[in-house]
Amino acid sequence: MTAKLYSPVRILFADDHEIFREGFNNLLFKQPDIEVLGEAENGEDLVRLTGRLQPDLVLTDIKMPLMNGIAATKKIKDLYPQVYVIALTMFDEDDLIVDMLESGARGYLLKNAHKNEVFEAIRAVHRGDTYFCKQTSAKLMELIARSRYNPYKTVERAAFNEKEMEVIKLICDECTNKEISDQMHLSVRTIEGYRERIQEKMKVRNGAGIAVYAIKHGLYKIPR
Amino acid sequence: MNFMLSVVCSMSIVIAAIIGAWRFKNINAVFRPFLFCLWLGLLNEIVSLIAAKTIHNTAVNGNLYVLFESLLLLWQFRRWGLFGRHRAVFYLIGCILLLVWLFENFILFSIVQFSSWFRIIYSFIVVLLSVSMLNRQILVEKGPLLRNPVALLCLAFIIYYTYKVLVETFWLYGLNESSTFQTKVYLILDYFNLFSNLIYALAVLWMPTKHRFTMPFSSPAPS
Amino acid sequence: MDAHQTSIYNAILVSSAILGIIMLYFIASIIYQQRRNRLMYKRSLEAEIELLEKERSRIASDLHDDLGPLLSSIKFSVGSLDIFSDTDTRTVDRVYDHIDSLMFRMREISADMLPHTLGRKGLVAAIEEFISNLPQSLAVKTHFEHCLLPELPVTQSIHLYRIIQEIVHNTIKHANAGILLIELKSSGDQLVLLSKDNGCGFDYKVQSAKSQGLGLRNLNSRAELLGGKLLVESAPGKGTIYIIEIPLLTKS
Repeated sequence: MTAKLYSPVRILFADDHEIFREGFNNLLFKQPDIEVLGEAENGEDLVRLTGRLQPDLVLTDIKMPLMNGIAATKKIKDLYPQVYVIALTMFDEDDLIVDMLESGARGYLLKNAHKNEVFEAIRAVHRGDTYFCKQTSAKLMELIARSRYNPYKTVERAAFNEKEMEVIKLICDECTNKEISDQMHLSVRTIEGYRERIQEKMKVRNGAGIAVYAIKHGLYKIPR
Repeated sequence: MNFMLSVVCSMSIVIAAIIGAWRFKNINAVFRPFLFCLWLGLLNEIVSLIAAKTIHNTAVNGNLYVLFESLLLLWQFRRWGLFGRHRAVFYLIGCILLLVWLFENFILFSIVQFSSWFRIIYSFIVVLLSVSMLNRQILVEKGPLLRNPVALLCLAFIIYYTYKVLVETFWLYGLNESSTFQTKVYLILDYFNLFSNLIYALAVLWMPTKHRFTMPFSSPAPS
Repeated sequence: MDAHQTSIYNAILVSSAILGIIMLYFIASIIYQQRRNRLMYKRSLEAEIELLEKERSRIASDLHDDLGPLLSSIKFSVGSLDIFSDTDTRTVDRVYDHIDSLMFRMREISADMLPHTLGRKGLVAAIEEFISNLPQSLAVKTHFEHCLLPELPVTQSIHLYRIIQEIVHNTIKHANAGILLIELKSSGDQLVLLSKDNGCGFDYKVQSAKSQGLGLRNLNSRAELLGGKLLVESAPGKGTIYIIEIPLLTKS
């Protein structure tokens, strides 16, 4: 599932809490395919460092002094559009996440995400995909789908057959693969296969991504 | 002329009585004793008018009326929670009133005669009870005091019944000689009667509706 | 009337007048004092609640700003460890779970103290969030209805939010209800909050006389601070209705 890249991904990250930067650094520096170029403690520093060090990818907190993540993202996309941005967020910042996405971020991670998810997010966004944290709430999915954020502009509107549509709907209902396989009377392996094909077509990496795509394109409506 | 004035002043109770009847269903049950008192008062005024014209003696209905008025008012204070847990005091006062009335009307004097003792005693008691109740309202009422029907009624009681005590006391000291004197003195009381009847009307207008009652210690607010 | 009677009559008149003046003065002074008393009481209540809310706001921020990043950092640092044995992997996974629970619980406490949405998106959004965050396992189903509301000053919003919090918690704890309806509507210059449940009701005379009727007293205080009034209608077996009417202040 996780592809190893030939040259390491060069990243910068920004957060105004030193303790957090320390932990995050600990997590990343051991990864052979990820190279941490530096850290910033506010938006201004981040933009400056981005200009100086030219990373591939930037992970940034949203609430920071001097310049917050949203303004920094906008600036970075303006000045260095080839740099991708991932938002890092604490809980209950739903509308800020949407703002980040609208400003140009390709995805977001909750700060208490599992380490594997962090790596996956970095690799996915580096490849050009979007990444939405697995723990996205339904409410947030709806917010994102309703917002102006639309990374799918460059992606052709994919077509899904009947079976795929059913799988999409069940995934959006938060069913596990086992539950889906029970309901559709297919084996779990078949369901996994469907899932991969759907994710490929949508260019997303997990259930949250599927859900946002589905809501955005009207393939699924969140029941009230 | 003076008689007409007197009648008008006394009959002014009809305003409050009508408002009370019109709003009866809506008003919080806590005020019922007072409303009954109003209607009884109206009834008494009418009966007095008739009795004055026919048998020329309004003493009987007058004496009966003051007994019921005193007991109804006592009951009203109880409904308002003035006696709290001291139910014994309530019963004690009730008994005292009843005994004094019986004594005055059947032993000391006669029921067909006017006398002042009972009237002085019950007026005095009403004033004291009203003062206590008003004090409670002051502590508890968070809005404008004069819009609180309980406070209004207590104020009206204090004013009217104090004057009643005064006039009846003067009466007691044998100053019931010429009828002009009587009428003139009673006229003073009549003005206060008019005044308090108008206050009653205002209070009844502002009485809170059923269910609209918060804490027992906070006043029912006008709605 | 002879001279004797006239002089007595005049005595009566004069003493009545004097008594009248004394009474008038007495009444006027009572009213004046009562008004001052009201104001003082209101101020002290306001100060008390403001202090309380400041505390809560501080706790919420501290939790969010200080503890949050620390927990994330711990999680990442632990994740960076090289684990070579299966038992250790299991232990680390357990640690992750514990940290996640910690963060979740912290988030709940912080939101309970002072929800961010209140300041950011207003009262209605905050209430909807509060209700949707109630555990699904509750017996009580809560519905929230509202009409278009004018913008409220933050202090008013906080009071209303707390009132609703209190009502919902009371209902959950005591009422044994199946349905709770909360309605927030504005009509003219009044804002009306109505809460209705089909639970077991209570005898409010008994409850509010008890010193543990703090819940009701709290609600009353907050309603009074808003310049409004709290109306309670409840009887054993007949459910409970709370109505809070507050005047809307025009924006200056």
